[in-house]
Amino acid sequence: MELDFNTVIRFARQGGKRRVVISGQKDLAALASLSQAKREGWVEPLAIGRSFSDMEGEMEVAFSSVDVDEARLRALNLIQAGKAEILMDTGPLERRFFPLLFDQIKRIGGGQMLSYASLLIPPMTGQLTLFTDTLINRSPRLKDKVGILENVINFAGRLGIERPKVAALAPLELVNPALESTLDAAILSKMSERGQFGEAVIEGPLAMDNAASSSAARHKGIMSPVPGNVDIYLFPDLESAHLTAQFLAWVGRLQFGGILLGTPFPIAIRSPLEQPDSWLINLALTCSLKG
Amino acid sequence: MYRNFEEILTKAKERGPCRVSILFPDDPDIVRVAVNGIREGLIKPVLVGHSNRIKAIAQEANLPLNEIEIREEEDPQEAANLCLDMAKKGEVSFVVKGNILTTYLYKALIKITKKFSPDQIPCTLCFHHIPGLEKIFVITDGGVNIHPDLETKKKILANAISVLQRVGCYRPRIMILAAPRILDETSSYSKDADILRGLSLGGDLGQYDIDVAKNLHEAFPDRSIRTETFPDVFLVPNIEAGNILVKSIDHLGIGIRQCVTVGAGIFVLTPSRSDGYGARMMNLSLGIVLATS
Repeated sequence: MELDFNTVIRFARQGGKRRVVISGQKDLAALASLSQAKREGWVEPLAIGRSFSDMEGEMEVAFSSVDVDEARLRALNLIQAGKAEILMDTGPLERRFFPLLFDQIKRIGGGQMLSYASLLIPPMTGQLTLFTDTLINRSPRLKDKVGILENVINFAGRLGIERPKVAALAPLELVNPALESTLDAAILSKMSERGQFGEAVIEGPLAMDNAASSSAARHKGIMSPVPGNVDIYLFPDLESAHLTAQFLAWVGRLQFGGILLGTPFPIAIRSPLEQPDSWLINLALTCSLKG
Repeated sequence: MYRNFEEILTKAKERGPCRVSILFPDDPDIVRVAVNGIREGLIKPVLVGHSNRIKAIAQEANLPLNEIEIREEEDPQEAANLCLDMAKKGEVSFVVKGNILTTYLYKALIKITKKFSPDQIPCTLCFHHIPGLEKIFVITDGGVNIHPDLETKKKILANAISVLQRVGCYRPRIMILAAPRILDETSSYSKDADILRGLSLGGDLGQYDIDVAKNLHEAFPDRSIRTETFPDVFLVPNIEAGNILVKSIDHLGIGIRQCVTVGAGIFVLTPSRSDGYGARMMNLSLGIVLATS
């Protein structure tokens, strides 16, 4: 099946109505997407706090006098009380959002790793492709990469990619003891061979050329179903992931979607990698985690 | 700076042919590049490697080698060293990688740079063109230096600036890349970028500007990229970012990548295996323009 951003939004429409609680700053693009999703019947929004006090005609608003920090706490409480299924936070993310979220996760005992996946359609293949971790983990160690992989494989399954092919990227395809990224990729690849990631196939280390091109891989003697057929690129660190994504988004002008993974309940955010008009995509992606 | 690779091709045709050494052309595509490079007036190649193997490949591909000189050297490292010695002595203008691991050329270039220009450090400069931008820009170093410290990064920048100035970009605009701060923490890469921005790179580097922004999001928050303010050189934080980024540009299909490794004033072309005929001729053209400027 051809998977693109429209398909993702269609899935969300078919999934029925979800109660979404909104905190954060007033973000017009986010509110426009919410209104559209509400109109189309797949989201029932409840906005929290002063930022949204003038939106009452458009959607349900509660605690309309509280500031952003307080609104976030109220929104989290509503989710924990089972009053909503999905949290949407319209930022700003940089300062207080993530610490609050980490505290919350610790408090409810979520043992999972938090990570972020970006979605894009590279012109070379025209296929929906995932990059991870493009936002959260700066220098993940092997153990963290296992968590990042589990998150993204699970999410790919939600999108209908049942046996994802994963390229564990490094600067070269040879294992070099001086380069930790090549060691991690080799171990993850071996773990996958032993079935430790279920149906997913992880190949690594791969450089970007022999990951993206099956002929480049063959020339290097890499016999694997992954090269030329990659669903997920696992990057060695945040610098490589985020900067590569930036060039594709800013200079290559590719549309990006993004999703926060490993959270105790689905949370829609928009990272700096996504254009404001990606809110609808991000919201739809988040809905795919529910139901 | 050149606006696109077509301009480089035109300039190379004016300046060629250049004598070049091609290391281990053990592949019909590479022998074809040598033969066609002669026909196009771009190069006069000297092939370095196993002469019998090269002749057999040429014969099988029906490519006439009659006038091409072959230097016999079967050991890959010795052959790489020989190619660079030829460049250092001025027998050839630059070196072209054939079907061989790049590491041999990196090692040879590091050795020769240490010997003749001990204050320099070799690095890989990737020249890119992406539609919508009216200029070629450079990303470095995704090839040679694994974990460059501040001192090494300074030398990489100095190397890149001097190459750009040679090709007429007299006041290059530089961005020292680091991923943005998203969680409430600062990275060592970001700190390095701040320090580098404050340092004078010294020597006779002439004029250059270092951007305050550390990534495209900071520089162009509204995403409207403009050629005039787009950097000429991007220095990457580490080899992971550099290598994956430069290869994403061509292999994921948003633009062109042409890589050159430089040290002690010697240029080594490192074309991709997957490059087609046009890309390989472009690669030779870039070598000619760099080596003759």
